Parts: sequence; structure tokens; C-alpha cells
Amino acid sequence: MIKLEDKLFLNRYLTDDNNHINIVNRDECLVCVNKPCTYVCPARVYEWDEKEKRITIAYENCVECGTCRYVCPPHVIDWRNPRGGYGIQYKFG
Amino acid sequence: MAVEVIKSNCIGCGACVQACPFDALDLVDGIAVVDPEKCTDCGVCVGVCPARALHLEESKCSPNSKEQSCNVKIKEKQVDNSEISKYKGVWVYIEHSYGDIADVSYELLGIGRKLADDLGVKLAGILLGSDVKDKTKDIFEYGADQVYLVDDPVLKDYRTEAYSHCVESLVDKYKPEIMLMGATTQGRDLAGYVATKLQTGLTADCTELAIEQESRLLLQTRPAFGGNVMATIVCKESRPQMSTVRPRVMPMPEKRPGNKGEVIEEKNTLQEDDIATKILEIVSEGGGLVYLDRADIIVSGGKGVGSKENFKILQDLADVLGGTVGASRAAVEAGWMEQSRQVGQTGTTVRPKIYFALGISGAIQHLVGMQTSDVIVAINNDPDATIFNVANYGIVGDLKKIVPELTKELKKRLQG
Ligand SMILES: Cc1cc2nc3c(=O)[nH]c(=O)nc-3n(C[C@H](O)[C@H](O)[C@H](O)COP(=O)(O)OP(=O)(O)OC[C@H]3O[C@@H](n4cnc5c(N)ncnc54)[C@H](O)[C@@H]3O)c2cc1C
Repeated sequence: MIKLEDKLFLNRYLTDDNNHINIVNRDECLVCVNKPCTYVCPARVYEWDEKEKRITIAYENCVECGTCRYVCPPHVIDWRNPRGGYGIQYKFG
Repeated sequence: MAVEVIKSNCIGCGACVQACPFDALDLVDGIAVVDPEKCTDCGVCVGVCPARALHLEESKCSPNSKEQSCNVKIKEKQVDNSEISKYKGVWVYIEHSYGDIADVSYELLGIGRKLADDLGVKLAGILLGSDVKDKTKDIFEYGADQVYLVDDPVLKDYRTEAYSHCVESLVDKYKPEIMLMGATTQGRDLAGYVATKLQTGLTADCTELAIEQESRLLLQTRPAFGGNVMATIVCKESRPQMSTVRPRVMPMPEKRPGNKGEVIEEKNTLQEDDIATKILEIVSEGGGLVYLDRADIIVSGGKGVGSKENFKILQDLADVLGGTVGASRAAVEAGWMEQSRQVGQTGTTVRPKIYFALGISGAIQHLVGMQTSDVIVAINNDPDATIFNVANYGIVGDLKKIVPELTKELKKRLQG
């Protein structure tokens, strides 16, 4: 099966140094039971790091669909559009 | 006159409609139809038709229409071969900072040697500067037959006007057929300026250089469109053929101690007053910055390293080898390493002599930044990790156990 990373490589990105996704209150993640962001995101931006007890955010994978904003039960994901010109650049989208 | 459609042959594929540059073709009821008003008899459609349903009778072309099609063609420039054949030899611009020669210049002497041998001509270095006479020794030991030297106090600092003026006058006098420069800040600045002045062709950032034997042309290959296409470019009609090459794209040649050559000294004809640029001060960048792209040995860690503290074992290995620590995106994202150490698509592209990939899975975005390293050593506890596809040496196991052992053994052997 083709890996998600290989599929993402087919997309065109202009990655910004500025992260456009932040978790405003990470304590909420500790009590969040299902952590839907980790399986709902189509680009696997969010991953639960068991050792560090925190969600890692691979923001450069983001396809800017906005799903994470709605599925996060405590609504702690501060998601903004990347700055103009940055982020995913869909070609023949 | 217009192209003729042989209806019985037409399969209605539409290839001609796509191909026609003048919008003169259309499909009507599954058959190609020509608009004679728009058709210029260029014949493109005839070539693409898979069913031989299009026909263009040359003899019927009126003189008028022929002329029209000629206009579309780019006029072939008359090449004066006698002029071109006056140019002989391969030159490498030797970049240096106050006598400290940049490695890329040696790398270029390596590939330059091969090109010169294929052409059966001499390889020369161009050395400009002040008090740099003694540096010619190294240039010969890395393969040059000759060095063109301009040694003058005016050339102490690199300045576009002064340096390009010297290069130009050397070219005018000695006529090399090929000139290579490093695609560094200095090389990029100089190459564009010199090529425009000499009215010749320049290909930037080449990754491969070769000679086409029958034509003696330099085949300059470089990635285009973000690396998805390799374009090979030739410069047929003017000399020298100029290319820039990025540092570390070409391998470092073997040093041949004692190799000697001929020094050709030229006078600088530019006075200080002729140069508008004045250097007030040179500010050095300081040691705090990470030069991943210049490191010979990189010890890189990924998610598999496990924690920020564990990066210490990578640092130990790097210290023993005199290397630099790098990281994957995942390790940067976890906050274990600074972004300036990230290797890959959105990080730095590296080509060290040895790249250690420790606890890195080998995602394509990481591979594109390091897969041209001379030797890749991978340590990963997953035998199916993609990184093993590019690794020259691989160890399956826990890096936390293996790396300290490796460091210990290397320390013993390297430090006596
Ligand atoms: C637009 C875009 C740009 C990107 N740019 C970059 C980039 O510039 N650079 C980059 O690196 N990535 C980049 N990525 C991310 C990339 O797709 C991968 O997510 C990332 O490279 C994975 O890093 P990793 O290999 O460290 O982590 P993982 O894929 O999680 O791999 C960790 C590996 O460590 C192994 N491991 C675990 N424990 C141990 C142990 N104890 N001992 C030995 N091995 C162990 C595991 O088997 C695994 O293979 C980009 C992604 C996108 C979408």
C-alpha cells in the first residue's frame, strides 16, 4: 500500500516557517479521551506522543481542510489559514 | 489551401484538434473538420494523426502560404565555426576567501579534468586576488595543468566589477571553450555578469556535465521545474560555454601531491579609481550558525531517538567523528532539535561524505534532502524501514544501545 507520506509528496506545498496551527491549552489534550484529531485528519498532522504526553503537530502536512477545528472536543486547536502564498498549493485541484 | 481530411480514415480521436496551434480543426459528428480560413498548412496535425486521415499536398502549396509557414520557424543563425574553433581549453574559476580556497573549486577541477581529457585539451584554473601566488600549488595538485594568475592589491576583496573585468580580459586573450564556476554567492554573482558581458550562454546549478564526443559540445544537465525534469542544455553558437555547479554536487578529486603546472601571470588593468564599489568592512558570520550543507559528516536523528536527552548520544558520536548533528522533521517538531538542523525537503539539502540516519524511517520528504550522500549508515529497529533502501550500511536494532557502542569503538580507534 502506498504510504500517506508518499501521497503527500505528490502535493505541492510552500511551507512557511510560521506554524499556522497551535494548541492553545495542552492540558485539555491530557484529559481528552479519544483524541479525534489524531485519526480524523486526512494528512495525519496530529499525533499523540505517548512519552512526552503531548500532541505533535506536523503542520507542513496540512491540506487546510479545517476538519480538526470541528472535531476537537475541547476546541483548543487554534487553526488559521497559512499566510498568503504559503501552505498547500493545489494544482489541477 | 488547407489540410485535407480523408473521411474514411478518420477515427475521430481528436488528436489533431488538440495539436493544431491555430484552432483550425474541430470534431463534427466524430469526424475532423478543417476551417480553411484558419489553417496555415503548418502540418502539425498530419504528424500526430494516428490513422493517416490528414493529408497535406506540398506541391499545391502556393508560394504565399509557404512563406507564411517559414515565418513560424525560428531563423537558424549562421554559426561561424572558424570563430568557435579558436576557443580551446577548460577553465575553472578558483574561488577563495583571502587565499582560503573553496572546496567547490577543487570539486570543479575534478570534473574539469575529465572534460579536458575527453576533449584532449588543457585544464586551467583562474586565480584572482592579492598575495595568492603560493596558492597555485594546491590548484596543480588537484589536477590543473595551468593557472592564470592575476595578483594585484586591487583584487584583495571580491568585487564584481574588478573580478569580472579580469575574467573577461583573460577570456578575450586566451579563449577557453568551457568555463566552470561554483554556484556560491560569489560564483552566481560573477557568472551572470561575465556571461552577459561576453555574450555567451550560461547554465546555472548544473548537476551533471559531459562532453558529446562528435560535436565536442558541453552537455549541461540541470534539474528544472523543482527537480521533476532534467534538462540538458547546450550552448552551440558562442564561447566559452559557461556553467555553474553547486558545492558538493561533484565528488572531490584525488589530490596528487607534487603535480606541477604552468603559471601564466597577467596584469590587472583596472585601477582602484575605476571601481565604484568600496568595501568598508567585512562582518564574519560568527560560529553560532549551523553549516549542515558544508559538514563532511552528519549524525542525524529522528523520532526514533525518543527524547531530547537521547540526542546527547548522537552528539557524542558527532564529536568523536568531528561531525554535525542533524535531525528529521519529526525530531524538530517534537522540540528536540532546532529547525536549522532539519534535513529534507523543507530543511537543508546535504551531501556529506557520511550520513548517519538514526531512528529515521526514511520518508520521501527526508530522503530528497540526503540521498546523494556518499555513504549512508542507517540504524533502525524496524527492518522494513524505507531508509534501508538507500543505506549503504544498515543495522537493525535499538539505537540507544548501538550508538554508544559505536562511539566507544570509534573513539578507541581514532584517538589511539
Ligand atoms: C510538505 C512536507 C515537508 C516535509 N519536510 C520534511 C523535511 O524537510 N525533513 C524531514 O525529515 N521530514 C519532512 N517531512 C515529514 C516527513 O514526511 C516525515 O514525517 C518525517 O521525515 C518522519 O521523521 P522520522 O523518520 O524521524 O520519524 P518516523 O517516521 O516516526 O520514524 C521513526 C523511526 O525510528 C525507528 N525507531 C524507533 N525507535 C527506535 C530505536 N529505539 N532505535 C532505532 N530505531 C528506532 C522507527 O522504526 C521508525 O522507522 C515533510 C512532510 C511534508 C508533508
